[in-house]
Amino acid sequence: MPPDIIIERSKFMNTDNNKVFKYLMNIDMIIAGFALIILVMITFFGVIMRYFLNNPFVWLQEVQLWCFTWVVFFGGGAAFRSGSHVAIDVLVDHMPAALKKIVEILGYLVSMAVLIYLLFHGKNLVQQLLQTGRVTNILGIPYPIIYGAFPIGCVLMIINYTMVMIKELTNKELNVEGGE
Amino acid sequence: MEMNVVGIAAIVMLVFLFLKVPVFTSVLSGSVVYFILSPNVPTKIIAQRVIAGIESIPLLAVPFFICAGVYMNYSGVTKRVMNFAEALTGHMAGGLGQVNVLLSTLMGGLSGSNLADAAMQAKMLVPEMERKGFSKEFSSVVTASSAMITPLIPPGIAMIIYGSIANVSIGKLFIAGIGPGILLCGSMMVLVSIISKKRGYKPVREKFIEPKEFWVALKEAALPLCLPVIIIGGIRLGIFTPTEAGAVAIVYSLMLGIIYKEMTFKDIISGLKETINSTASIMLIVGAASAFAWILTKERIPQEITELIINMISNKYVFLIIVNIFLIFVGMFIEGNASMIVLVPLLAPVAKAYGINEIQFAMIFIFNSAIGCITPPMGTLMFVTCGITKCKINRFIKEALPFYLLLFICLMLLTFVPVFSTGIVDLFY
Amino acid sequence: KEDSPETAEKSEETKPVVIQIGYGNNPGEPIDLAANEWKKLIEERSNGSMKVELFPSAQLGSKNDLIDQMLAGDSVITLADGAFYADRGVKDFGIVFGPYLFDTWEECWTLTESDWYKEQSAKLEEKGLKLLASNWMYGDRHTLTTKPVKTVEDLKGMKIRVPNNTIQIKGFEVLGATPTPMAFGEVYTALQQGTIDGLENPLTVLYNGKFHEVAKYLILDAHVKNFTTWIAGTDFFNSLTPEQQQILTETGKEAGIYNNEIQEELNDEALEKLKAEGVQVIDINKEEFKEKAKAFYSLPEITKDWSEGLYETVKDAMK
Ligand code: NA
Ligand code: NA
Repeated sequence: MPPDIIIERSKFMNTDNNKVFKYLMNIDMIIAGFALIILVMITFFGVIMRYFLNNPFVWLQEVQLWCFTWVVFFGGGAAFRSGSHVAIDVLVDHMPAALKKIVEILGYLVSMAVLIYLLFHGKNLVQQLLQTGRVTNILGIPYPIIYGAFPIGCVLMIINYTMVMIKELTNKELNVEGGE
Repeated sequence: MEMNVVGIAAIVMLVFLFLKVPVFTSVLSGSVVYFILSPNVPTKIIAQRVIAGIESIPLLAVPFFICAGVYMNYSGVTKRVMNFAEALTGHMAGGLGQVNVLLSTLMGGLSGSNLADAAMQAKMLVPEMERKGFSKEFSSVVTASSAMITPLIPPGIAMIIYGSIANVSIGKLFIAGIGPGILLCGSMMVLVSIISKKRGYKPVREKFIEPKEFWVALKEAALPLCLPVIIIGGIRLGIFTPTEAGAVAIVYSLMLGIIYKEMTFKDIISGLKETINSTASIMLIVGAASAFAWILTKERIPQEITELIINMISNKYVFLIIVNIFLIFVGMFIEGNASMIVLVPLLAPVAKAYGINEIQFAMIFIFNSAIGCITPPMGTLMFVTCGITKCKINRFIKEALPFYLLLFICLMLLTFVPVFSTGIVDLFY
Repeated sequence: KEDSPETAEKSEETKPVVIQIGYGNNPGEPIDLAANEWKKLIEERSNGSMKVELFPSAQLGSKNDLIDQMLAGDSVITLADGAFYADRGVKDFGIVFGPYLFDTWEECWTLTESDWYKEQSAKLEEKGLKLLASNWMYGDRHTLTTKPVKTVEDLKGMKIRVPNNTIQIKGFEVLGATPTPMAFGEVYTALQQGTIDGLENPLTVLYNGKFHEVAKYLILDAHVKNFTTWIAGTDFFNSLTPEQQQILTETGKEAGIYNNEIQEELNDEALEKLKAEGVQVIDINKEEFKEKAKAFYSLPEITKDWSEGLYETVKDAMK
């Protein structure tokens, strides 16, 4: 969530609401954060249980992969907010500003198309897993819970990329008006 | 027909890739085109392949070592280790650059994952190198290309996969990797030194540090320096796997953060955020690339090209040259271990028929697929490093040119001088 | 134009059905050789109306990936066995992976021809998975360790890598060992560095994975007689003509017979090679292992998912 949007909205809310709103807008990061903490903790304690207590967590792998999947897909949207996604700018850097902007919008539209396609088929995959009742081997965790992060991640990425794009375009227009 | 579909998919992917579309969505756009144009392949699979590319235990090293690196920065561990490293190398040209290469070689003795090594050093070393006057691009390139050494020094995932597919002793392959590993380490240190001299990355001081100062730096760094000891010891004693070592490193650096009192609760939270952002951006690329590699495999593209090559060639050296070109090309698009699973069973028997030593051929193969990791368009090491250091890809590629040349020379040495791969093995067996 | 539908039909007829067969075994292992034989039989017998592509070494994905792919409707076939089907909701199927359930291979084949097995197959079909062939021997699963195991007591506390499923975890736990699920790709280094003390698999797989380079002791405990099965998605199977369906199942069985012949041969060969490369085969009293394993069939964690009296039903069905 771009900070300036939060500030703007906060004019219309009292501070308590603002705090709630801030947490709400970062809920993906909070979920990914918990998944990461659990991932590190079970791996560390898994080592202790296996080596020192000779009683390994037999469910370690499946919970590790669960957490990992959640970190990646819940974090995917947040990575747009922090500008962490990598892109190759070899050609675009040599383009005139106007063309750059067109290419940027094109890139956004391509990504949207891809993400919507993935959202749709990711949802279908989760539905298939629901129908066939696939669960993890040891703990019997339903796979729709684990892989559900995939379509959710697509939605989060669509929202975040859109917000970043809006912010970037409006900013640039302001700059142009400012007589750049 | 299918080959056309894959061709269109690859072109779409490449065009978007170079138009600054985020790497993971441009790679995925190729897969989307394939799935739309192939009515026989159920479309849900695209989601499954992306997830399957991410769900791998060895890849857990990526978030672990990123996180450990972040916390080492916050807790003051990095600072102390770097001071010590500088004390040791300050009199050399491009000291920290040399440290970067050496560290990857040493890490090679622990871990089989080049991604983990690049992630860790991009996080820990590059900021320090920049502070010492190295450019961001140069630091990133050194980090990414020296990470190639890590899987060559045993243990390495690639050797295990190669050995079990091609029926070659994994133990021998492990030892064989030491040769190319040291070759790469030595020549890379020379290259770093040459570039550093040219650029004026001057040594910090004339001669080796005074003994008194050395002891101060060592004392300061004593606890952080226990970390490699703990990691090496822990892996060697079988307490934890190289992947799990990352989690141990996180816990240890948190502990040091408490001891040094340099880390706040806020730092812990921002460390988590940084880790998640980097992990998500890197792993989405890995997942997308693995989905595309799956398409190539399913459509038997590498298999068919291999058959074509085998049918065309009649001479050992022509075979080696063509295989090198082909493998570099494949390595640009398919992650090393995935291409190995597909191609080794096809190429290794042919190499054997030409009388090429099986260990040497394995090294050529493994080295080739490693090169693809730092070249565009789908160099995973390049993306991991640039994703963390925020280095621009085009600057990275430009800066990497001398390193590409170096790798090419090393590859030629491996290809035409068997002793680099088989020498040490012959000593042991 | 009147003849256009006909030509369309014709061209559809001439375009062969492409079937992709994926499995985790590497080229040269018995399963791979037999899969090549199967491919040959299918392509010959179908007069070119069916084309087979083989994907060894899990090139197309793991078993679980491939099962999801076939459930999505892809024309793939994969190798899977009882423990997998148990995790896919046919709980009773898991018993075939129980320790020392079978004494001889004959018992396996009697069971796969029994009414009980037909019932299980029907249940699997409801889940969208069609069993094509069940007469494939995968091999006796033996145990390779880094420390000598002379009696079943020696297994106590040893960390043995097992595949990631409840049946095999509990099956090893009753023997006193500490079953440690781990990705197959990490096993070699884990053995070398002592993170685990052993693993179990058929001899050909153990030899091909080169695990004997880092674990030198072998017990021929044969704790599981591992027969394996080929499955396809029901939707894909039903899309084939009855003739093609018959070719697929018939040749599957024939290739199975071929597989079983070379399995025995290659298993003996693998044992000789293991010995020649420095593995010490330790004599054990198998009865001791069998006795201890009996506890498995009354473990509440295991039997709670099973039908009443499953053990007795299956034991009767294999006689
Ligand atoms: Na290594
Ligand atoms: Na390095």
